[in-house]
Amino acid sequence: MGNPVAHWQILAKKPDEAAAFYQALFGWSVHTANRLGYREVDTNADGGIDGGIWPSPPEGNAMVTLYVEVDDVARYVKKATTLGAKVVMPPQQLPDGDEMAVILDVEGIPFGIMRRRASRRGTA
Amino acid sequence: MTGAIDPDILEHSGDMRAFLRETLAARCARNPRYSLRAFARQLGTDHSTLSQILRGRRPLAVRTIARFSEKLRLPDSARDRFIVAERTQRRHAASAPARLERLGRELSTLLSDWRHFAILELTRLDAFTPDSRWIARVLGSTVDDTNVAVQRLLRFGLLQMTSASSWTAISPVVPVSLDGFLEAVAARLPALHAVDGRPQPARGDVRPGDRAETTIAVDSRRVDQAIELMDRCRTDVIRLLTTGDRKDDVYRLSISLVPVTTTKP
Repeated sequence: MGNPVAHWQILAKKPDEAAAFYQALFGWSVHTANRLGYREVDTNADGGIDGGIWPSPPEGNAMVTLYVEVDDVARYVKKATTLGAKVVMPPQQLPDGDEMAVILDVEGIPFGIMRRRASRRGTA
Repeated sequence: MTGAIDPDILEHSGDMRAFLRETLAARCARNPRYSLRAFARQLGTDHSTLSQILRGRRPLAVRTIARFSEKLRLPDSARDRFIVAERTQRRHAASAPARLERLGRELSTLLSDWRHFAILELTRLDAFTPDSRWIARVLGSTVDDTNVAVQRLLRFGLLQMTSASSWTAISPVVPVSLDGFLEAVAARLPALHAVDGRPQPARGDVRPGDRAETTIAVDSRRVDQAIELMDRCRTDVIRLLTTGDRKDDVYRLSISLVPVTTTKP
C-alpha cells in the first residue's frame, strides 16, 4: 500500500477562528459530527488530502502536523524509535476507529502515524 | 577473525559509541588477549581517546565517526545512521533545558486544571462514554478544553484509548529518565489532591488541612449519608464513596460535597 501522507492537522490556539479563516479563504468544509468533536476538514477538491483542526494546549505552539498512513501503527512507532525518533503520544485507538500515534523525528519535528478504520481505508 | 564486524551488533547498535563498546566486548570475549589498545590501533586513534569515547567522556565528531567507519569498513548506511544518531543526541542534549521547562509547564497545568482528574475518574464509571462531547457535557466544559485535557493525559501516559469503545486510566510508568521521572510524579499526584480552579464557598471553621480537595467517582446513592459523615473524617468519606458497588457520578470533595458534572452521566 505504501505509506502516503494521508492527513494534515492544524494545531490552533483558536480553532474556531482557524476553521473560519480556511472556510472563508478556500471554501473548505468543517465537520464536527464525530466522537471527539474533531474539526474534520474537507477541502472539497478532487485531489490532495483532507485534514483537521485540533486545539493547541496553552503551553504548546500553533503548528501543522502531517500524518503518514501505515498498516501497523505500533510496528512503525517501534521502528521509528530505533531510527532515533521519540514518542510523543503512544498508539491510541480513537473512538471512531482510527488508530494514531505522534512522534518526533530526528530533527525534533512532530508527525503522526495513523491507520484508518477498515471502512475508510483506501480513501485519502 | 577478530577484526570482522558482527552484523548483529551492527544492526542493533543505536549509535557509534554503543557499536564500538559491543564490538570491543565481543572481540575480548573471543580472544582474551585482545585489548583496547589493539582496537584503538585499528581505528587509528590512541587508547586513551578511545577509552574516553567509550565512556561518553568525549564527544564523537562527525568526521571521527566517518573515519572509524572507514577503518572498520562499515557500510555507508551504518555510517550515516550513526552520524544521524550522534546529531540527534547532541540536539536533545542542547534542547534539554527548554524541554524541561515545557514539561514543567505541562506538569503544572496537569495538576492545576481540575478536568484531568475528573476525566480519569469518569473513565471508572459504568456509564462512561469515550466521547469528548459527552465528557464536555458532563463536566460543563467545552469540547476543545476537554480535548486538550484528554491529549495531555495521553501524553503523560495517564490515559490510554485502548479501543474504539474503551478508555483506561492507567498506572504510573516506571521512570527510566528525567522525563519519565517527572511523568511518574505527575501520574501519582492526582491520587493525592487535585487543585480546583473553580471558586469555593467559604466557611469560617475550616482548618488549613481541610483546604485540600479531590475529585472522585462516587456512588451517588450514598451522597446524603456521606454529607452526614464528612465533618467527622474525610478519609472515611472518600472510602465510603469509592467502595460502593458501582460508580455512577463524579463529585469534588472539599468543604462541601458537590458534583463536578453539570448533567447526570
